[in-house]
Amino acid sequence: MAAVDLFAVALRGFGFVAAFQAAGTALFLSTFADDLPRSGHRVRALGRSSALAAVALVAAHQAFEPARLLGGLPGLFDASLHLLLLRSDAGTTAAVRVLGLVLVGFGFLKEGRGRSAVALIGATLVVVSFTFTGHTAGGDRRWLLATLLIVHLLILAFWFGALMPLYLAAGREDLNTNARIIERFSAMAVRIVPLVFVAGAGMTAALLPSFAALRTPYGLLLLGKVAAFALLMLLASLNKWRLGPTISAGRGQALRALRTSVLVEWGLIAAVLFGTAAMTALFSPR
Amino acid sequence: MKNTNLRAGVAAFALLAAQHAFAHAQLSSSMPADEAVIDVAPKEVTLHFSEPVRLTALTVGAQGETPRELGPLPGGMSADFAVTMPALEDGRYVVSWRALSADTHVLTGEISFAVTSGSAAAADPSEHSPAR
Repeated sequence: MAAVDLFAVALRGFGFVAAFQAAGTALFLSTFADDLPRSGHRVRALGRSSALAAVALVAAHQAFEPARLLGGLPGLFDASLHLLLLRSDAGTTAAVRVLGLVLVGFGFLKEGRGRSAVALIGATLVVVSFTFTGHTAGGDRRWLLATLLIVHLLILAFWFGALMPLYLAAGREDLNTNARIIERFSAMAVRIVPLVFVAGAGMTAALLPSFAALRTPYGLLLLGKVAAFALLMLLASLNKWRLGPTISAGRGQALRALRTSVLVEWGLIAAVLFGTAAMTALFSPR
Repeated sequence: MKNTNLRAGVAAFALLAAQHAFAHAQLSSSMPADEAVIDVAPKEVTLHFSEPVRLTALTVGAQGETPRELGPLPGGMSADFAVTMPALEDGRYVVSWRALSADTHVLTGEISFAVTSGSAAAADPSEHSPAR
């Protein structure tokens, strides 16, 4: 694999992490803003900086793609390739994602319901932008695949985007507030997180031509995602059934364990996003 | 109720799986074919894709040498490409290509082939393609 491909995948991976952090923070704050009296401003700052970083990474990835198309850095200076990409679905994707991220960043500039709504619209645009290109964007079942992808990504964004705010809250909010947040978040997660798997399985059934395709690089990365999901569910269960009740019982040391667990979850999902960046940029389902 | 939901889920899953899987364009065939051993150096390389793509880079090179760019490449989308090759001596060569698919994926691939004895004279040096 050429260095330009690896660099493009790295840009794409970091871009995914930043975009999902920004969109997910907006989704999390739309539900939990009132529960963060001491850490709310830090969470909004996280959303702002993530959105800003994601805009820079989306732009950098878009600017670097001509180098991938030509197989070397001279592609960076090929205006016709830049124009070709800007006029393609990749250009539309980048434009919609940047618009969404700008709205997220704008929504986090100040506190308030109106700003929160703007951030939420931005987060939705970020997620929807993923349906304009890629394996789910073509074929006669485009709308079904796009719907499954939106469900998959919205829930993933909420889950991933909640982890850093939970980490910040565990360090700044009191025990009672943390216990309330964890209880509410766990109750929501139990209902919606399994849908990440259901929607992902639906897309897999539609995209993979056969079980044998699971032995291809695309299939192996997909299996890696499933394994990471199983591990994440284990960690989430640990948080819900062990750490949550301990925090509710007023044991402060459980907050430290919660912060560690949340960081591990964040790292795992970030790794999954990098794997997805490689899977969708370099390989085909068949 | 639970069984009904399960059955509906399985039916939806089967419906999805039963239809043709979607995949982006791929190289269907080429001339020379991958891993071919030929006794006459090819005057051109032809690539046939499963669906139209925009070919953005094409090089040929012997092992251990800097690849030479082939061209000019057509500007539009097409499923079939034929590009003139330079005169090739005996040896093993790799043709590398890059393309943009309709769903804006960057596609990459390589074709390896070997030219055996007597092939150098078969290629017409006047058809040598300048580097792009």
